[in-house]
Amino acid sequence: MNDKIEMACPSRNDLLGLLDESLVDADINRHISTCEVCQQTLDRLTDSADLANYRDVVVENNDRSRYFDPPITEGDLGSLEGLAIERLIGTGGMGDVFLARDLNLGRKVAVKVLSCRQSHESTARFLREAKSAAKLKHDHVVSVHSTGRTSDGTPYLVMPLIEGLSLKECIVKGRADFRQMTDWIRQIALGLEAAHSEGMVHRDVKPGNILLDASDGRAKLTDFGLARSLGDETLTHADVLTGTPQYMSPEQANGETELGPATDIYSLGITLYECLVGTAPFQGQPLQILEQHRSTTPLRPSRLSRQVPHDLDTVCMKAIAKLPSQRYASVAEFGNDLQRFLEGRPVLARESTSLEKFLMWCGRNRTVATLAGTTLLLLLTLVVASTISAWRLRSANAEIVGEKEKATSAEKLAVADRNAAIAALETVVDSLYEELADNAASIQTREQVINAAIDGLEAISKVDGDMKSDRTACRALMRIGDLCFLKGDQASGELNYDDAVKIARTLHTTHPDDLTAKRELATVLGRFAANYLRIGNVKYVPLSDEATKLLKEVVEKEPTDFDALLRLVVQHDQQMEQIRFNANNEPQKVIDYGESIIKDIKQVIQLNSGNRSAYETAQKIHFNIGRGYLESSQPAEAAEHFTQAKVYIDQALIQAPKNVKLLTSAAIIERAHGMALASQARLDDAIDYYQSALGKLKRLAAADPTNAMQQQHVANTQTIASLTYMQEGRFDEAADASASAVKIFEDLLELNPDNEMARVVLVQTRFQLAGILVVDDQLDEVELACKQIRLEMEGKKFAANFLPAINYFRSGANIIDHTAVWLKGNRPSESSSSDQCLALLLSARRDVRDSTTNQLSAETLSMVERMELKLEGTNLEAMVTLINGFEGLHPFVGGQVKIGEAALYGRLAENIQEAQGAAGKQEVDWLVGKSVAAIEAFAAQMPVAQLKEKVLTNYELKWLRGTDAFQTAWQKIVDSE
Amino acid sequence: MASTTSPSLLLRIRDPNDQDAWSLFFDLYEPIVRSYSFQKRIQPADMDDIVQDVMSSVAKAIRSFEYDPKKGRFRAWFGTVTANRIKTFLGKQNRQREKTPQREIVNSDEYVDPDTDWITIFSERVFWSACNRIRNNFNETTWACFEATWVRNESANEVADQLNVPVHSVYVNKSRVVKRLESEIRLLADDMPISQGDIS
Repeated sequence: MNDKIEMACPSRNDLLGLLDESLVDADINRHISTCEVCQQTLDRLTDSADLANYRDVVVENNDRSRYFDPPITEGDLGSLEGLAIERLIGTGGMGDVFLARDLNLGRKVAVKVLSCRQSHESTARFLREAKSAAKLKHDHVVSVHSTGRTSDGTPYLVMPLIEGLSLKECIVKGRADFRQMTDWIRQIALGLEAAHSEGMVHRDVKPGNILLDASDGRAKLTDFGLARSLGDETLTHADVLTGTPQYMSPEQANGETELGPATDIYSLGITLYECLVGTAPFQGQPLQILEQHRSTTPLRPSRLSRQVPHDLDTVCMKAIAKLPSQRYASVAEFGNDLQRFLEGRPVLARESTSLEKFLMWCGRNRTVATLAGTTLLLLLTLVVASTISAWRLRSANAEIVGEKEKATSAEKLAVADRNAAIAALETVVDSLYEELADNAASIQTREQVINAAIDGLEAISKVDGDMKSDRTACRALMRIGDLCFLKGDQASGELNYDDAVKIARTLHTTHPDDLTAKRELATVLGRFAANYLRIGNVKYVPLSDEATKLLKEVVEKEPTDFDALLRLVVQHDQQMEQIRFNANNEPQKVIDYGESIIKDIKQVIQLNSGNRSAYETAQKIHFNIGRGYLESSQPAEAAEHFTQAKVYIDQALIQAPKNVKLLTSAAIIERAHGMALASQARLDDAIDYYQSALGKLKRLAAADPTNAMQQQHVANTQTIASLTYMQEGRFDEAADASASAVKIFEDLLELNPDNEMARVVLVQTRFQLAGILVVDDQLDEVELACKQIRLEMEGKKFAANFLPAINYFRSGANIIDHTAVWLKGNRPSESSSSDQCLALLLSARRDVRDSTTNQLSAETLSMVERMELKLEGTNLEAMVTLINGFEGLHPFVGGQVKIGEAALYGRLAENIQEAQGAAGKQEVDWLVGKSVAAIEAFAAQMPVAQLKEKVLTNYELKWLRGTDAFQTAWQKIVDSE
Repeated sequence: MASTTSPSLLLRIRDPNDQDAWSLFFDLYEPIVRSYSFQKRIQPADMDDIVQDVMSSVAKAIRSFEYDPKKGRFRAWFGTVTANRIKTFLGKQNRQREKTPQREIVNSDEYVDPDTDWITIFSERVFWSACNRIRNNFNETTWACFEATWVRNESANEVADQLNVPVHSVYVNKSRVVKRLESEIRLLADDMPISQGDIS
């Protein structure tokens, strides 16, 4: 430098030569290092005008123009205390930033000078805020060294000089991948967390305010507290137009003044969005952007950039929820979720499916997985295998117990992991229980599995120790309670549920306006109630009522809260089951309740037309309403509800086409629909429905031959179909159906003699079979059938609610048995008026079957004689008089007397008409008149609905029903109703 | 790197067999159409159709010399094609009108950029792609000189000081990168004047 020689400036061509490296001249090089004129020329020569167009677009949307025309220059500033201002390095909404040297400490600093034209008040606030920001020291916050005022009173801040890009530049340049950027957002969340805990809200979080420090690689948030101090307390039109509305929260856009941490969460969320997608979600005019913040939900980032994983997507969407209450509760939670994402753990922002969480959790946490995981994994394998036979469960259970002993050394679990584990366990136990519940053969195994699950849950819920105010603990307790109830340990079940209710109630009391807490409490109460209900304990009533009340409150405030509505509908379903259980002979109560809740079902389906549980519950409720109508003899209404139930179950099946439970329900709905049709005398249609249901049930049963319940469904359907065949007079088919049902029940009972329900239905089916045989004149077989009925009941105990049916079958069987003996021409050892009456009725029927006169046969007359009864004549009328004279008949026979009378006259009339045609018209008319009169007399004794079923479905009245006289009389009877 | 002599991307894709050119073309321009469509509020469900439609008609047009460099910049022509497609699509959506056959995709004497959104998106994409493609050809110092002086407009003196290089080297370095960047952008987008010697 000492031998510096003054030389003339080199020519333009020389400079060009220097630039394209064709000229190398040490003198020229030395000259230009000091010559400002040459430097300016070189600046121009190297600043390609075409490329500059690009730069203007690319570099911060024309912000760079201010580099060339700064409002404040170094000179204007004069000298600041202890600082040597070097040059302008940046400019922003707040003011200009200068590079300066701290003369005392010798370090480089950034000096931010507030733009001029601020009111005295706002400059004062600026300094106050800056001073409080100065207290904030955090790795991810750009700290404030000091504050001061320039000679003209403009306030300024002195900050460390951060060398590196802003996040905005980084996004534009696409220099970092989304994981790197996500991590920076996480770091900023840490910084914000520290600020929030000091009561400071940033209010202007955006990519431009996030600096990436090249010296330590950290992301740092700058301009703390400045927005608050500068932003006027109300948002004016002009403010919006001058500011950057792209990152404003909806509450900011609304002009709200009390902005909390949720605002920063939103803005940081929008920043994350921009990182993931490359642009902020809302574009356009500032006022449009504000409106979009208030009302438009942006597309999920993954829709715009395929590389964005679903979890990250969900975190982002949660942070930018419109309502602050729907966002993360704190920026710390937001940051934690980002951390979880980066570590490959499930994020909390969404309810990932339990199974998904479970798998992620097991994959990550091998040691912990051995504790509850292997237990679960084994259970899970079983569920997935789906065909569970008792032996398989038993051996699996041995493994479970072994694994658990090995694994007691596992230690800590984070709350979220517990959640995941519990959710997984819930799913597994639920599906397992469903499978097991249908499988009568595996009751002991079920208990072992349940015990294993309880142990696992207790282990999980105890880790971390904090049981008091923890929703997770509440869920675990609830599930343990469920399991205790399931295995019949009511006392432990109650204890666990009491604790769960306590936690949920505390959460609800401390947050009375929090709908989630309210819903949670309702869930706990509802499930507690469901458990009581299952064991028939009346304690369920207040719990269920409170749950319903809470849910109604939630739904009232939030009519579109799907979870609450679904829960409410489930609650309705429960209520209905209970009404059904209590109502016994009052199906109207079930109907009334059911009809009153249909609107809720519609609403829940409308809200989420993809939810399987909603469809499942909806079909169940419609099925129960239909059943109520069927029981109160309103088959048309019943059919409507079965049709609706079918619609819903088909929807559920679309989502789970192979779900055994759903397929079974679908077949049973079909069967019930058949019963409704049978009650409307549409017997052929009914049989079609039964056949279809039977086909489905048979396939299901064949796929799972050890499943008792499925076999039972097949048998029940056969029994029901048999009755309709009988009404049609198709005795062979009726007998076949009953016989195959009998066979199934016998096999089931051999496997599991304790299956009481199966035994009761077996007895009923045999009874039905005996009835068919006696009507069909297969008298020898009747005796055998009746003997088996008695054997079936001998020495067996039946639950109280089965006793009326059992007694009915017992005495009914005796009557049929004795009737057969009478009909064979013998005299039974003991006899009752019922079997005498039935025998006479059947014998008379035999007489008129092929006859065209009304004279009784010799056999019938001799039977009357053996019975020591007196007959006033030898014709049909005398017999009818005799039969009508019987008193105290068994209900099985009593119902048949008047109908029998009508059938006898009708059948005879039919025969005469067939034999004589028009010639016998007078006699036919007379007989038809008698028959119709019998029906009219019968009609006076019972409700029309029941009458319809008996008259319209009796095959022996088929011909009669076609006559004009019957039609007229019947119309009158129906109209009188 | 004799990049100045390489034929431009738009020339290369006239050859249907030049697979590298095709894939580069799509990688570079598809995101531009995508993000412009996004700004024009095209729903993601329709986005793929639009993008595919635009890209295939552009490719076809280039191959058949429908794009005429004499009428204006590629950026403007490409933007017009994209904007027209989006307009047609939105119009069809609004009025359910039958699609009118569009043989000629841009019919005007002079190509004009559809709007500033387009310019921004196009420029950002092309500029940063070009930067990324050439970045590794330069050492840290060379690039730092360019970034400090050209992007951040720092003075050559200051930069020389910071990086501990002579002032003239700062200029030489800046000039090298600028020239290379220009030629890269020309290569990718035909978007630099051909006369190259004097850049002032």
